[in-house]
Amino acid sequence: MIALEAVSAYLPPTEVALADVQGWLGITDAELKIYRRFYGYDKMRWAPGVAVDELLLAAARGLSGLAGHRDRIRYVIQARTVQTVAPYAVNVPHDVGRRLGLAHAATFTVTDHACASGLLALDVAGALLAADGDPEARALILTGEKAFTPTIAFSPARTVMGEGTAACLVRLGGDRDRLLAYATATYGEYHNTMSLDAALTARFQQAYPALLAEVIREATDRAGLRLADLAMIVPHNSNRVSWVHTCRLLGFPLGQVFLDNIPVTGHCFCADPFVNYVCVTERGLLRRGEAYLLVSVGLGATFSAMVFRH
Amino acid sequence: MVQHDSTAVRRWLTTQVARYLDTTADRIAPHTPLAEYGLDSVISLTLCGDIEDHFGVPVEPTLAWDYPTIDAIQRYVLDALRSGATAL
Repeated sequence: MIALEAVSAYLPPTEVALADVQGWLGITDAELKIYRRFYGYDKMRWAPGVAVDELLLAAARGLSGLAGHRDRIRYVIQARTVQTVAPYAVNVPHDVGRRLGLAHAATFTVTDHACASGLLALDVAGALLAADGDPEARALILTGEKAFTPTIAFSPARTVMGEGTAACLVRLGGDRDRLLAYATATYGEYHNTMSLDAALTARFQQAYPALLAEVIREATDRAGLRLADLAMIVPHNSNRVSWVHTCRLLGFPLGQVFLDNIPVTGHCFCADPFVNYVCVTERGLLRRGEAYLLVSVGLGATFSAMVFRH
Repeated sequence: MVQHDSTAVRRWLTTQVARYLDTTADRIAPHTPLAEYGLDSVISLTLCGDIEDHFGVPVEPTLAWDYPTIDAIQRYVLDALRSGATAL
């Protein structure tokens, strides 16, 4: 099993109020009210005019110990929601890897689980590192994207995207933030989420809390734990309402789900669980030895959860 | 403070729901679960916001989950008004 050796987050300094981009996103006054009052969105961190590779570099350069591990980094994996993020011939993960001095590393992208691809990247990194069998080898995970069109920046009845990024250095073994279990499930009936008809959208919204609760239970079971053993759920920043429903189904205290960043950053694609992990640890909300759960949902629809020991 | 009786609250709720669903109030039965009319999550939350604005009482986003019919929501609103709870 892998461990998280270091995690770093980068939040662009520009705060954009949802109300200020209401017109660009095509949000009605009624929707704005719902997004602010009930979904919990208010501001997003965006980086106007800044390319995604700069945002990823900012996160990676914040990793403690990156320089010391440079030669040991065998894989650079960009986990992303959107399949095409740059014009032809621009290769974001390769460019970022090269600028970090990691041209020697095998570099690729995982995107099949959409916003849950960050957890998929951790799983893939674990499989590759385990196959190599070198305890000194490392993998670098890069997450976070640009909200570069209204369609990508705003998902009706669901979420508003932010441009925060995160980087994560992964190793085999290790005694801090050890992965205990991973659960993931993809429900292909919701694959065409961006153009769902109203009936399918309603079914997805109806099913969402139960499917999210199920994958959380599954990961916790596989870790040999009970839900009550989890000190925190560190989630993707999907709307607050979905967490209210999910926590009710789980019987898990909403106060132990880290939702503080929803009104501050927006939903930062695959980066949310990592950005939120950084906030949680910086605030001292996890004590040594406590179990916690990273969780994310990707349109398509994939529900994924990982249990770690801090 | 504006006084609200049960009939007025029910009438207001029925009118709102009918408007969201683009139908007429006489087609909305007060004891039928709103989900059966196709009330999705966005409409449910719109109703929550409108109740807060109109009656000045706090409403959780789970309102339509916890109180699935017009009658049930009406009782919630009246209880909230009587208890003096106020929206943020």
